[in-house]
Amino acid sequence: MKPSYLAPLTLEEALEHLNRRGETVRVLAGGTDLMVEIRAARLKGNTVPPALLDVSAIPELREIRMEAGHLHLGAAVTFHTLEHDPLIKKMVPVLSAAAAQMGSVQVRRLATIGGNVGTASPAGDGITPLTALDAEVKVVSRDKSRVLPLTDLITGPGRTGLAANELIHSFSLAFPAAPERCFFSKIMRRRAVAIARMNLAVQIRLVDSGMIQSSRIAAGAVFPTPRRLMEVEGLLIGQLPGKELFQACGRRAVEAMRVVSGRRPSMAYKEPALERLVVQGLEQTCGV
Amino acid sequence: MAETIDFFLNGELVSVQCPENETLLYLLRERVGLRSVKEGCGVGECGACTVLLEGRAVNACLLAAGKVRGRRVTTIEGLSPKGRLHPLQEGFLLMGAVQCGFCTPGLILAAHSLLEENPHPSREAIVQGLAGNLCRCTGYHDIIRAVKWAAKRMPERE
Repeated sequence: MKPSYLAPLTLEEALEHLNRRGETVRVLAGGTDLMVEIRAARLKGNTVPPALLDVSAIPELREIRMEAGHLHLGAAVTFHTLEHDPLIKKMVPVLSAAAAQMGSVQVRRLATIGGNVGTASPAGDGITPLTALDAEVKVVSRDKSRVLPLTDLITGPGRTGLAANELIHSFSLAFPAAPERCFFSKIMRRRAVAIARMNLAVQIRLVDSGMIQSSRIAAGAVFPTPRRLMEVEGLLIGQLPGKELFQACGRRAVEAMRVVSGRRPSMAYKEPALERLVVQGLEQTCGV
Repeated sequence: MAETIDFFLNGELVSVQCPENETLLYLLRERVGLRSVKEGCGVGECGACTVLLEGRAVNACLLAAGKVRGRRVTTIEGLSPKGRLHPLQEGFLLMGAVQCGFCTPGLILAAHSLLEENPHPSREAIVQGLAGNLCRCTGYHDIIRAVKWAAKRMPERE
């Protein structure tokens, strides 16, 4: 009988399992999405995954460290750690701010950043800040590893380019040389523990004269796959923060959403919501 | 097929037959018979199934049973081992924080986890710490008072 629950303590062992049984094994990290999926399958009388590969206890996947101007973040780092870890709070506060708004305390203790990316929900609260920060993801299998932009790994709503024998290993984030201002907010049906109707991550660098030197903006549940709002970022560079500029940014974000996502019934809600969220995000980031 | 899962339940080592890809909620309710752990939504939104894993609140409905192997799980029964109410339980009674009672075990355990990390939480910290627990009766006001009451009376930790 093949075991139905595997909890290896080394990466090698995990990758060996994936290599042999990748087609039938589902990778489990925190389980906060997968256990819900399994429950739904049971209730409907559908088949459940024949085996789970629990990777949450593999030390290598829980590492957080700085290396050569980058922050290395293991895939099994929990949202609770993202929220509270002093190094993450200092170097990538936008990620900490996003993590603090994901789910509840109970969920954040279990849920992992790698799991959030693997689930690839367009509304993933970890994905939006990682996108704004141009995160790279390392994907490993028994015989090789590859590094690619996060935005290339996620190929559609709920879909990734992971092969059956591959595992999300870690993320690499460039952090700013000088402190930058940041903002994360989400629109929810309930004030906590809800899936984002829309979320927004902003990181901006102002120089002493008050001019915007650089900006990174990403929005979740706006595009089918994560992407930065380069159209909006372009409007900001070299400008002084101001209400009119930010209103133009809100309108520009809506245009980008129309072009990329097309006309959909939800746009009657999403257009004004995104416009206002962008304005609010920029105002709060720049203190206008 | 049911594997044997050994873990510490309320301080005692137990061996439970349960598929490891089931939830801890199923293990506790259906295999151990602990009905204090409630199933509200079953998908991690209501907090009624909150238990402590290594002293910290988690949703039993989201936790694969295989994850508790060798670890410490505490349910509401574990807070009053000698039949003496925990200050949080006392506080909930005194402040009228219990109405239908369905959310109460989960709320008390979530509050316990909060006070372990933050022994003297502000009102805002209590609201944040309990955001994962829904109560449809009380309106939360008396629950927050109960947690504040208990925070003043928690035993000093070694």
